Amino acid sequence: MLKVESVDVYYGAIHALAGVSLNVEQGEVVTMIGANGAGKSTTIRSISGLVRPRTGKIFFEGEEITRLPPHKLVARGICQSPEGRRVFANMSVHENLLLGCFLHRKNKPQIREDLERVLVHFPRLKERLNQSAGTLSGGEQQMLAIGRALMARPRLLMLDEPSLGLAPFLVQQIFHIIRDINAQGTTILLVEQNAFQALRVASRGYVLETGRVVLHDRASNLLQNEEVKKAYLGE
Amino acid sequence: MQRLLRRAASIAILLAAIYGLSLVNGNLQDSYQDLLVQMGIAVTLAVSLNIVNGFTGQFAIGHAGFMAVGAYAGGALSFPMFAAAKKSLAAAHPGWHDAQIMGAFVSSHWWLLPAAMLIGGAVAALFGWMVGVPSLRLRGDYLAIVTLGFGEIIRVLLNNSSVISKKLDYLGGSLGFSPPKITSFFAVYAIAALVIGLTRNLKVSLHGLAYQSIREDEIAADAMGVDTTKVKVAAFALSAFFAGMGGALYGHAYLFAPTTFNFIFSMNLVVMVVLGGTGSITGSAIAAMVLTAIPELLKNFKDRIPGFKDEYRLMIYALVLVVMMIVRPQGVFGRAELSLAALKRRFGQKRARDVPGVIAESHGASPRPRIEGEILKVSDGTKAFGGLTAVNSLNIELNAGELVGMIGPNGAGKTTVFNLLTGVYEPTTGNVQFQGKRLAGDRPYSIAMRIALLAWDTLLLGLGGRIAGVIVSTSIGANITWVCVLIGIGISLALAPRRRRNRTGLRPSDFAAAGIARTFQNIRLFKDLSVIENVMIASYVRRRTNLFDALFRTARMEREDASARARAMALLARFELDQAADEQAGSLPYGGQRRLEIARALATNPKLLLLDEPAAGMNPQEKQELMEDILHIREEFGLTILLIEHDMKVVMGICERIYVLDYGEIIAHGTPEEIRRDPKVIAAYLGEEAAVC
Repeated sequence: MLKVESVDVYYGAIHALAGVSLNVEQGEVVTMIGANGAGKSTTIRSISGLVRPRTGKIFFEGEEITRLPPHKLVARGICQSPEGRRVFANMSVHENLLLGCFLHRKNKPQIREDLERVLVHFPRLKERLNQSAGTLSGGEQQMLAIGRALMARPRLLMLDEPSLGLAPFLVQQIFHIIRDINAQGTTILLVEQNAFQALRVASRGYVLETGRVVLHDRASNLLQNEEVKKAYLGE
Repeated sequence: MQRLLRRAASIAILLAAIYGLSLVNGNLQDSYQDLLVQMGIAVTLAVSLNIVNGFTGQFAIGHAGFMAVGAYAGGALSFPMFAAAKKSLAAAHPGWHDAQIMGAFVSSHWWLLPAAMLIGGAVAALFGWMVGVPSLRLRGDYLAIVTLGFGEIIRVLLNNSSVISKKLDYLGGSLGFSPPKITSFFAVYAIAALVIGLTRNLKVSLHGLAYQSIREDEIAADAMGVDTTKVKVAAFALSAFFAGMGGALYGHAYLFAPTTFNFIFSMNLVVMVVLGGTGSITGSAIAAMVLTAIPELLKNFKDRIPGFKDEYRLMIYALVLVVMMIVRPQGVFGRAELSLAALKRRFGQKRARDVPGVIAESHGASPRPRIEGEILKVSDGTKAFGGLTAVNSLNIELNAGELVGMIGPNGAGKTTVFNLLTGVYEPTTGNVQFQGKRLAGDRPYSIAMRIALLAWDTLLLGLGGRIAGVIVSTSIGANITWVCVLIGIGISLALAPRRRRNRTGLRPSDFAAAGIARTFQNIRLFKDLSVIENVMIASYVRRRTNLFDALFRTARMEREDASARARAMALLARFELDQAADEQAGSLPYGGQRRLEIARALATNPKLLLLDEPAAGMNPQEKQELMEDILHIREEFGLTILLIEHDMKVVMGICERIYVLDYGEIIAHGTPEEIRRDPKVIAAYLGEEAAVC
């Protein structure tokens, strides 16, 4: 479904990604793990068109999308829950969620259904539906960003540290949600610091170090891998 | 002494050079001489505007208004003096023509231009202060609106000066005002050099860093002990002072009318700052010269190229601006300066950064003997936003040296508690005591005080009502003065219940000064400043120098800057960031930014450190290091630490006590073991799985 071919990204003089290749098949949950600064977010940002790779190609469903602007990618069904929340601070929670399904704005019954679903996942948002998003706490904004991404009904959902700043029981909740929406047919590319949980929901995983893919295997194997255990699972 | 001599010598050389240039200037065509004076004045104005728009990152768009104030205030001094002198000189020397009279006047009144500039600057600074105090409290675009309004009000007032008072007739109203033309090339460029020099001194000092920290992140600046409102007002008044001097120069060079200092003039100055690079003195100065020259030089085309209409001139000018902005949106120079040091760096010679002896200095916060007993106490703290109660009658006590955690579901009010403890929010009721001193919250006034306050309010508002009454009455032609007085008294009575409580009125910077430091959930570094500058800013709160020291770069200032740098360097070394000292803070990897934020907080010499989700976004290994770090710095810096965190391994691993918050109330409080087993906490926060593991 998604294919990233030896992508190089530079921020000024900093070589952020050095020939990263990965692929995601239809219906999979694939996770990227690695230390801070390894290039996980940059990989996601280059897929969603927010940074431009200097070399390399990115394909989505067989078509090259390397230089497409972000909004066109959303139209094709690629959606991202950005790291650092980025909610529309002066709009209400409700409006934020509705903006998520901007592309399906004609399909009213579906919107209602999706909204219902998101609010079941995050009852906290229901309590705050008419509050402006900027007044939410950090964790609540994180829920909103994820909820907004779900509203877009993406075919490929990229989640950048969805559990960041969430209370422990919500972290468990997030991984349930990921399983749920994956079961409903959404393909997911997941970046997480909580590598243990991420590898448990994922079918495959990529380990990134300083802008390179150093390891790539089935998630169950990575969970058993001694080096992964030591470096990323905290054992 | 040697320093002073060196400085005096370089000033003398500079003045000699300007004098030399002025001789060259004397041989130029009149129109070029005129243009050069205009360019020099523009430099003064653009560089002064850069202090507000570039350093502190505010957006002022009424700079021409301050210039007008300076021009008129300066002119008000020189005009009558010149008129009198002219009369007596003409009487004494009947045969003299105007140029001779002017010459005699200038040589006997050489002090008049500097005096006019000082007065123009001082009056403009006063206006700047008056405009700044109310408008700079607010964040965002209010300043733009207020300064825009100010520029217009000044223009309209001056247009109608003769209506205000017959005594102001000589200002000429809308017809224009012409003080004696005593501005010279030398004066213009000497002032430009002076303003550039002072501004540069400011920029490199601790005070300048504080200015720039506001541009980078106002909330973080406040938390580092920079009193943002005061600093912004000071920057604004200083900028207005320089603008007033520039205005006085302009006023003594050209005939002007209130419309000279219109909105377009102000906008041109803004364009110079933006195009040159907001924050860059070099950029502002060069942009000022180039942008003043272009439209004038394009005038020549009109004569040389057939069919070149005058309208094309401004179109070309506008096009140049648009293209420049597309090619280099950050301005030509960005925030960089052109200096010898920068050039040397550019061409490979490494700058001698720190004197080795200086680095060895300690970060100054050696472990203190632990103070036993209570250090922080929140009693009955409540914070409501409109109808929403974010925190409800909270009671927290921290003992010196403790490491306490705060957990709770998202939106429970944890960060609100931090904001109460750091003065970002004022509690709706209840109070915060730190080391036995009340930092926030209220205490009822005594009855006597309340009566006194009521009397004072009534007097003030009654008087205000009377003044308003007189104005309204004369304009509508009916006497309603007493109605207005009654309204004023009514308002004072209505306000009385609100004035019952005595608030401390302390700002976040005061909390920082008292010894409470924090980090932020979503890292708030001064991203465009260097790593070491981020830490140096913390020394501002303990400064012993003032703005004067900064502008004239006194020995005191140099010593303070050096010691701030040395302390910062020592702290950076402690956090293994010294290698990156000169890098931009925003370019550090995530973990480095988190460490830098802690180093910066420690640089304020806190006794209580508040950490807001320090482990967020870290992997297990980094979390492990963080836990060790937190335990270490507590010992090393003699700290009490309060920590918000969602990672149970971290919280349970290092905290001695834990508060659990839900819906703004403490639902549990105890040791990690007690919390882990508390059914309320499991239900509201931990969830079944986490409780097990």
